[in-house]
Amino acid sequence: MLVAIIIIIILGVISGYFIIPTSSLEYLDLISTISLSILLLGVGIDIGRNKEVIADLKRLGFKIMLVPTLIAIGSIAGAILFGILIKLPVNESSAIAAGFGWYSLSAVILTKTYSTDIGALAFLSNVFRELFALVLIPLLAKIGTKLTVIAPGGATTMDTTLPLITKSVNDAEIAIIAFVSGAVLSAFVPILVPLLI
Amino acid sequence: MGLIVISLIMGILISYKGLLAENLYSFTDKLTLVGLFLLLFTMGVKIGGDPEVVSNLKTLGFKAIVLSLGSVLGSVILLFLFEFKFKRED
Repeated sequence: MLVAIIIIIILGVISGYFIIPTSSLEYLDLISTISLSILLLGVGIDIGRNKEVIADLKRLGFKIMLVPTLIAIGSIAGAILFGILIKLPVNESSAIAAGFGWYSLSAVILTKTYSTDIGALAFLSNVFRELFALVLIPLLAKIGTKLTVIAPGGATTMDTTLPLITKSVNDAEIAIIAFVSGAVLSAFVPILVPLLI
Repeated sequence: MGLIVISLIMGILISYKGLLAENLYSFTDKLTLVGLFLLLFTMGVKIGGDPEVVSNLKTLGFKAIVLSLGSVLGSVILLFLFEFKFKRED
């Protein structure tokens, strides 16, 4: 998926650089507005469909909500602090962090509603987050932590990093918590990113 | 911003209320993917058409690593403290 996404962006960059005249940017804006509503409608349908997650939440108790909430707070606070070091305004660093590793959605929302360079930064930063997660998950499991293994993946613990988590920590309960946490964080992304920017 | 919220809430309501037939979901999945690909393409066009962003790609890469490190460390530290406290209570 990441490969397909990168190829499409590169195709866009090449066409933007060489082919598409800046005068057609108006059409581009219209296309991206329509695409964004379609995309978010689809994201919403996905969220509403996750009755399984809602059932898991009820069964495990809403205490489990602490896991994605703490991951959200830690991700945003950490990015704000590190953002200050590179002189990034708080609204930008916090909104980028609220992508929680879901690079495609956070990047397109920020490109569309805020600015191209912050959209590009959100894309790169959230791709790196997933890469760091792939390295850290087995490491954190090795030093004997369990819940903490869920933290670096952010929203990706419901899909792309879930197999690695279940392989690294041999505990069915952790797998379910990771899935629920990833689903909740994924639902936070389209709400928090526009809110924070 | 308004558009994002309205589209999202509409989507959640549609599927939560079960307004869509089960076999339509593979279609909405494809539609979402088309929307995403179109947006990623237009994002690329905007990046390519903006000389400033192109010349800034290197610094953007560095900033991206700093931000993602901040996010990863922040969330790991908080969850580690939570897990530690949890264990002691057990």
